[in-house]
Amino acid sequence: MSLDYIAEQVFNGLASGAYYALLALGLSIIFGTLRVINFAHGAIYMLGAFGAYYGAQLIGLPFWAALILVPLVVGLLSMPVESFALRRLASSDPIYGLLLTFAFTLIIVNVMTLLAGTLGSPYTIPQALSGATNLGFTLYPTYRLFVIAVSLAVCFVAWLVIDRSLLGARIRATIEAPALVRAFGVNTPRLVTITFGVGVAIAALAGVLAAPTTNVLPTMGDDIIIYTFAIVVIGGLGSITGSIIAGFILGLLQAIGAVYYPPIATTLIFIVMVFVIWLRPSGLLGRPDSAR
Amino acid sequence: MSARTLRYAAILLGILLLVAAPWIPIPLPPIFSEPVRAPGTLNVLALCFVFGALALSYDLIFGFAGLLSFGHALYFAAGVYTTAVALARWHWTLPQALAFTLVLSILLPLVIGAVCLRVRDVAFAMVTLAFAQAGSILVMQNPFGLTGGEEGLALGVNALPAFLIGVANTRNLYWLALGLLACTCVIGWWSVNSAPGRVWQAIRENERRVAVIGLNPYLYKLGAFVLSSFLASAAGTVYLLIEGSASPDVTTANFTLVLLVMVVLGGVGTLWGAVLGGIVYEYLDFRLVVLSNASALQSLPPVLRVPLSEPLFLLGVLFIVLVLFVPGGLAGALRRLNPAILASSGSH
Amino acid sequence: MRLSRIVSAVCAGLMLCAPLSAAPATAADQPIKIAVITDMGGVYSSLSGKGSVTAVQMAVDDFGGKVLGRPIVVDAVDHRNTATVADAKAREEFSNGADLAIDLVNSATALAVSSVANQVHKLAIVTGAADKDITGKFCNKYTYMYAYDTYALAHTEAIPIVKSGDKTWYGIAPDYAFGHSMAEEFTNAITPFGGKFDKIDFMPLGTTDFSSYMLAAKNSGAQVLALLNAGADTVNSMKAAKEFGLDKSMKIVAGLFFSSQVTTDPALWAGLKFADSWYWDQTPQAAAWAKRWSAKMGGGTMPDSIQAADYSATLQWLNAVKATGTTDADKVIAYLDGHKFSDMYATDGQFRAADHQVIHNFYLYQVLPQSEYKEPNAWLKVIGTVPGDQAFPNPATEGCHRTW
Repeated sequence: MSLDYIAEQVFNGLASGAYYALLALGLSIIFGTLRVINFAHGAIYMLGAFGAYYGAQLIGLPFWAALILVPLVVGLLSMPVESFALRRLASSDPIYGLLLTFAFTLIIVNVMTLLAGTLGSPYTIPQALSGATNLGFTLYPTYRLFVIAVSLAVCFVAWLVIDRSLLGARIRATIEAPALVRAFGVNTPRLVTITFGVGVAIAALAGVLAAPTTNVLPTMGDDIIIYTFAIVVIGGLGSITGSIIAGFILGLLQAIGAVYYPPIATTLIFIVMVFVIWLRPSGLLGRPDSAR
Repeated sequence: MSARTLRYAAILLGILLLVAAPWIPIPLPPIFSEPVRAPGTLNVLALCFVFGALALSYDLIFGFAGLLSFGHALYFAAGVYTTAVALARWHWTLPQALAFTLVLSILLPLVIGAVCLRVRDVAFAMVTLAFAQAGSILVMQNPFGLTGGEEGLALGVNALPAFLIGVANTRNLYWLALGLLACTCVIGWWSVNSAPGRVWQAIRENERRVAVIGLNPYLYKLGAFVLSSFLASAAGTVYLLIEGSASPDVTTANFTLVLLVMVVLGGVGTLWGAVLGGIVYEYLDFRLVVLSNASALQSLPPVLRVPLSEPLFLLGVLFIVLVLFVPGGLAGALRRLNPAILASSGSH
Repeated sequence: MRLSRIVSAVCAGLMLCAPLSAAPATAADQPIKIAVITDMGGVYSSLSGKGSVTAVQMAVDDFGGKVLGRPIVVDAVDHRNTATVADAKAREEFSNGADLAIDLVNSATALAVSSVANQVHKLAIVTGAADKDITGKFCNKYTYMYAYDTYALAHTEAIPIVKSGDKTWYGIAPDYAFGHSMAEEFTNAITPFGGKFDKIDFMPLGTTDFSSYMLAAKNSGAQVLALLNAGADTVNSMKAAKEFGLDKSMKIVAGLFFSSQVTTDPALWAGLKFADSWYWDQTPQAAAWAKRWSAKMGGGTMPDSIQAADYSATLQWLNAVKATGTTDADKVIAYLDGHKFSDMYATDGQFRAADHQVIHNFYLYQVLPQSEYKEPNAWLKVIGTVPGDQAFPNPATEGCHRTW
């Protein structure tokens, strides 16, 4: 097995890790601010992909525009849901928020199945990104490099904002002590709603990125959401950086695992999770008791 | 007569009616299209009882111990598949298969629970989900040809003793399911009112306080986990006997979520509410499919008809309505409608 | 509080609506019932589903709507891809007077219903499932397999390609019964002619990222890439194959592919080779029927081989019922066993008595690029034909212990 081949597989791993990182990032943001396990995250990913498809079909929306527009629209649409439905349940048991998002998943997936059928909807790689790039040691599909770049960029910006900016500090403070932050004059409900919208938008972005290389099906979010949950746990609940890093690492591990022993590829994430939980229950970068 | 005596009499009458069902020739439209004693009706009722028992087992860890597990389906599936493999692949007798399942359904949650309970809340939910998903994958892979993979595993004609096979013996399966439900209810009621049961509820309210008192929450949580998983496996075994075959849909994460629906529908933290939720859900699951074919529905304009024909869509809508407007579930709603049913404290 | 009352009332109201089920029909005009047991809303609903029901109804209508003086009723039944549901529904249909269960897409449900049919002595005709064990070790008197199985797919695809010189293969397959069965069939098909699999990668169920396997395939230098999967897996692996440029250096063959899938993404599938029993534009007779079907389905789609098989099988059964004067399964089976026919669907078709496999010609197709379509939806060209007795398994060796 040549070095070139291994290097290619590393890039494959980074490419699939790119999706995991984006989804885990979005889920972490939503969990961090709303303490809600967003079961609809997979469905939103699917809506992002379909948004790109329908955009192209109905108004000839080019891929570049879809990358910006679809997450924006999906994110904006989710904000009223948060303020009217999820917010009402904030005072009750967290289980109700979870059940509500689960109910939304059922409805969204069902409606899309009725609209789009089960054979899959086509979406092609845009011309400018098709073909392969010469990386020196090999020719590698350009589109996947693009996905890696976009994911890294978004994750970096998210990290910058949350960890290093005033806005991020306000968000983190709102999680810890919302009443106190409000007393300082910050409009906390609006902050929470916007943060939720951003988390949703990131998931939709992952969906748009996935459309050219994956079969666009109403059920495409079902499996990926379970992996996303596992990755967030591995990275550490409450840690944005942890989710991003765990996403990329696990994408890598999965790709390498697939080369040597394919049957292990899907269960690998779970095996790693069990190990991490056993050795360090709060996850790689999580703070102890951050799950409370 | 006091309200209490009246309540006990009503319960006794209800139990007698249930036991006597296989002899009741009266049809009950609109609930069932055939008489109560018909095999078709008894079959549906038996399945409803199994799901009632399963929902109760889930309420034990979720409603009483406060442990949100997303992997409860795994233990139900373990009951189904362990017995199925023992009967159909290894050709053991029924008592042997049951004994084996008994042992496994205590060992499995003991080992898995020991790992999962190292974490709490959301992480615990994710870990239990992961184990269930791993179990689902394992079943589909059909290791050593044991589980039948995607096609499932059918019990052959010779696998079961005669009194459990055949349409004429549906009543025996009905009574078996009824017995399962009764035993599960008794065990459930006894356990939550026992000393460990009270500790569970204390853990649910504030785990740190329990630790401060000097009790080890981990051990109590593990106990609740094992007991409820054991009851789920028992329900799984009875389910297998009724259905006559094992199918991989019982291993999916979706199935656990359905359990969650049943318990929330019925009312979390009230054992009888969960049983009611399980029974009502399973009944609706059967009936909604018939409903979607009913002629009244066909005459509606497509905009209405198409979504209403989809059971999952209806379920999602029902759920949203429940969560936003009727948080106490059916139990809560019934209590508010009927003041004679005294509200117990600690309902969610 | 009022809202909870409303909710309870709505639920009660729904329950009251439920049993608008029929009052029993009078004995005099008891209709003849055909139960189309299929996937109406899940993964296979586009390949089968409503289109299959339409096909069966067309057969009934073309036959005249009546046989033996009794009207014919078509029941659409959703098995939700679950064997236990299929089993329960089949029993319900048969006990409510159905004489034929047809379609049965998804092998697990086909096996379940076949077993029920055997118990109640009524006929089941499988058009939608691929498992050759249905006429192999699980064969029974009351089941016919009508359209295709994994053996036919493998042999029709593999043999012409290996014979033309492409001897080195690389395979990817899903890691469960279907995948392993396909792998075995294809290996058995190419080996006698000098073909060889460099490797077959078995990937876990639910894999959506095929990039690692595509790289491995490219690295192996094999001449043929065999996508031994179906449905969404085939789409994902084809997308990945094209992304990594494999279509330029290798021939790509799909294990289980239906022609109607081409419409979802014509550019993606151009160049793919696959085997099937029928294609709508293959003969004028087929095309005429297909256009009628398409009109009934609202235009835009064309039927695939499963739906055409449903039409053909229904007509064959109705003819048998008319000829024998009864719907009694034993008598109909006695008539059908050995019966030869040719129709819009099957050329040189025969109901083989030895294992209840219906044999007919099988074809190797190639998907044309959109620019070469002679008319809308004319996606394929035929590049090979295998006669029925070679395409389907040899009854002597496939493991059917004929107990009837």
